[in-house]
Amino acid sequence: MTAYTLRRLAEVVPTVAGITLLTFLIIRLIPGDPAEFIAGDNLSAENLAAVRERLGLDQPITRQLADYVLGVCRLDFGTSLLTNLPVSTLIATALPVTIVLAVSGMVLGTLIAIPLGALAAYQGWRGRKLLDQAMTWCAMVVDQMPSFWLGLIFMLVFVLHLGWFPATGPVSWDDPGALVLRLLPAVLILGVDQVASLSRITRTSVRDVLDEDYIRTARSLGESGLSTLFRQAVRNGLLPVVTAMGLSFGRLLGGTVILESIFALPGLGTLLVNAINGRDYPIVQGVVFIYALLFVLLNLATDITYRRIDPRVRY
Amino acid sequence: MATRADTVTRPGLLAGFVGRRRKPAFSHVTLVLGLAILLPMIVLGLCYPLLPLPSPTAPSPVEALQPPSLLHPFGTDRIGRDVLARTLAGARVSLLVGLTAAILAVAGGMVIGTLAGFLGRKVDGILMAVTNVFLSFPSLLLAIALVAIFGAGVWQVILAITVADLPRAVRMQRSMVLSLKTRPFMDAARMAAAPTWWLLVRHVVPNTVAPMVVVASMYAATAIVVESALSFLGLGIVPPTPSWGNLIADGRPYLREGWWISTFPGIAIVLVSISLHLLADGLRERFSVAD
Amino acid sequence: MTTTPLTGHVDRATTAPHTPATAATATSVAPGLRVRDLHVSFALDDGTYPVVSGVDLTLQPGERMALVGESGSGKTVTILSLLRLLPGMARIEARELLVAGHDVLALDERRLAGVRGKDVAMIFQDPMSSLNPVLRIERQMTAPMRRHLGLSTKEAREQAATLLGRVGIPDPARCLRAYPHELSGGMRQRVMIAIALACRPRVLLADEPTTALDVTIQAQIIRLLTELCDDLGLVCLLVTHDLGVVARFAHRVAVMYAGRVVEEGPVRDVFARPRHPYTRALLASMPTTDRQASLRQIDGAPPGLRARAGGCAFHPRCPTAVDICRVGVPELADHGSQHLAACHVTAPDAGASTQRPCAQGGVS
Repeated sequence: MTAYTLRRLAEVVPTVAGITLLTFLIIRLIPGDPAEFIAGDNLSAENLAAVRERLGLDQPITRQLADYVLGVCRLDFGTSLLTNLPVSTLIATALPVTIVLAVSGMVLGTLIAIPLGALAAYQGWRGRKLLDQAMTWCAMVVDQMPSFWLGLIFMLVFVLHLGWFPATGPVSWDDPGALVLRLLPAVLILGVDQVASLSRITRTSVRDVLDEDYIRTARSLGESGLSTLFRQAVRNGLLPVVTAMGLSFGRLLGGTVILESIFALPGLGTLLVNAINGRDYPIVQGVVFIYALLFVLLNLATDITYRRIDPRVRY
Repeated sequence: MATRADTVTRPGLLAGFVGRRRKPAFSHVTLVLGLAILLPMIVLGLCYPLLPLPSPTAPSPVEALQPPSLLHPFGTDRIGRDVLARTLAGARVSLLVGLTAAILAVAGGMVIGTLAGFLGRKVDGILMAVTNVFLSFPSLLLAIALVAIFGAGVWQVILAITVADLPRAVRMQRSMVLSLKTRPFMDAARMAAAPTWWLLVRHVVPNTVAPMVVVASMYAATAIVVESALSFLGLGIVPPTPSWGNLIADGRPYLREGWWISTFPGIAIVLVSISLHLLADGLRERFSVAD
Repeated sequence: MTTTPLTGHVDRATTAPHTPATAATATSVAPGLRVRDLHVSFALDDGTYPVVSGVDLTLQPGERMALVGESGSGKTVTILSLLRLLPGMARIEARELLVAGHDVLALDERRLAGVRGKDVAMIFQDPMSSLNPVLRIERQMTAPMRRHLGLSTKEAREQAATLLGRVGIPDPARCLRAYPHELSGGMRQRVMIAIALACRPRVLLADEPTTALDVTIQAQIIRLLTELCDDLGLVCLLVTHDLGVVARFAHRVAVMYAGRVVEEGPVRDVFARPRHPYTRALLASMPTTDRQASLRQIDGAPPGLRARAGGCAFHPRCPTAVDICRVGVPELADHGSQHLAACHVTAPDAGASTQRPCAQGGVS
């Protein structure tokens, strides 16, 4: 199994190389003159020259690429154009918020979705269609609602009208109580967003397993109802769910960007949006790279988990 | 009589008895329902200048921040513009962007995916390597990055969303082409000495159209949501061009005293998204019956 | 193959057998299996359809019966209904459904689970899909023993190894540690048999156990089953569409068509003197080693679930059908020495009404 892990890690390297290349191109592909676009209003010759020098645009392209790649290896993405702070510092400050949001959201979503979906499948299998249909329809309706819509409604009802959560305020790691209150709304919405899709996949998958021959064999040997379900069906039915989790990490990370904006949380998403609006491209490069790297690593973890659960997969 | 008629893998216990889980009629319901919601919105969005509504852009400070009423069914915003009119104006833009991006992404995906699947080896290797790199970005992030490159504006957003959805479409088309390539009917056609391009156009691609149409509807739904997310963040379509996303953003500072400004465009997004998903489901049922 | 019976320390957790309400039996020993008037229907979206219509089966201890028919004859549904293993849409009704002394229809889920695997066991057609792919063999074998017999893990493992040896697995220890996909088809079926017999059931139900196997392995498995049934004194009902298996394995055979038993009797008798046109056609269509003969088939196809005609279900395809066959469902009639057949034309007391037209070979 370790050999498999190593192999997958090796496969990650070209992907990371590709990500590096693409993020490198972000600045260079700006139509027209990147320096002009970034300089914005101050188009004086000396400012343009200064911008070019800052971004290394005056160097030959190969040199630029080499510098960038070396920088990435050290996780050095340059310095912010607006604040002169190292981009990596800014990212390091913002990253924990995003990671906490993403992980909590996924955990919450999974903890709700899997039992919900499994139960719905079991009810349907035993012939109690009503419960099964009800759960499926609810999940489907919620699934259609974009997470930022849910976030806004939540904001409207629970934050502004009911005042249960603060709308703004710092995220301080020393005060757990305040931290929870600040982060909980976003985590809830992220979780609900995952529940909708994961529970449907769990339900379909568990139902498929329940219809399998080996469940019938187990029943013929005396396994009964709930015991059969939770021992064999869920274990086998988890495989597609793990795959789905891997895919929905993309949706999760995208969701953090929006929800950070709605709930004014100082994570990577807020950093990114502000940087784009401020044309602070070194930050843009760095943040996009980190997001992509996170996504790749999360998918890798999913693959390895899948391999541990299913002994049939051989590479 | 000793024929192995019974299927070997799954006992044919139910094979002859249960065909499909839903009655055929049900697919018509989803399809019709989806279209019933979607088409009026498209029509309204296209024709709104013809409707007797207040202008979506002209400010009227006297009527600022009025709740929904008979005169203004969706209320007014902070400078007195009618929210219903603005929502319809936004519909035109958002629907245009979403549908166009989805169609372009699927069309592009079909072309590239077919080439990759059919030409094999090197071409496939290169195309898939590029595609996989793009796929290692979450799609919203990719769209944001592309908007960062191209800038804000309707066509830039369409391009960004198209490129963000393209890799997935390519992969889907390629896998369909690969599986069709090995089917017996392909061997039969090849034995009739049919040239490659003819095989592609006449045999392979038509079999992929139906699933990709379903995919296109789903992409349209996500494209509209992505566009509104981008515009909401100020990255996509910016004022004065109205889009549902920036309408919602407009209403954000007034969420407490003017909840209607953000809510109605939001409801519109949800409705369109649901209708497109229903359309996709209905189409999928129809196409699988026709098999 | 040795014929040593299963040995080992097996603690049987005792369950009081559910005594049937009607104790009247012809013999002094209770039959292993008694089914009277079994009806099974499926409630589908577009209506409820009968799948099995009035099946009677009785098996004495030590008796082996084969249930034969084409796909769609209802034989698999019949055998699955004996343990109520049918999907949720199935409705089972019977005047009597006694399996290993238990009234299956009267038991609740919990008590039924106590019977399944313990007093009655079943083996299925495809051992690959019938074994859980993510669990090792040991786990799948020891689970029923721990549950029904109260054995510890260690005891169950030892017992399992012995069982595997008995069914002909060369390296039981390695097999126990393996996953199903690591074994060959024949070995998997042997494992299934071992699991089924682990708790010393009295009745063994087998749903086409050899269909999914290579022809060479089929013979081995049938031989194994025969031996085990003899050693353990099992009552066995085996579903198959292969008449060769019937000949080698069963004492009695029941032929099913469109949800009914159309002929039943001792294997020798039924094969030598088939009384139902369908049975005759089945036997005639078996390929022989005579290369000159063409394969004879039965024209037409069995009726689908929704298309069962009135009268005798076989009449559209029957070469000897007469008018009455179209309207009246034939009853099972006794042709002597426990040989029954349901056919208007061949019934022993058939009157003048069935004399036209003349049947092929006459009413013999």
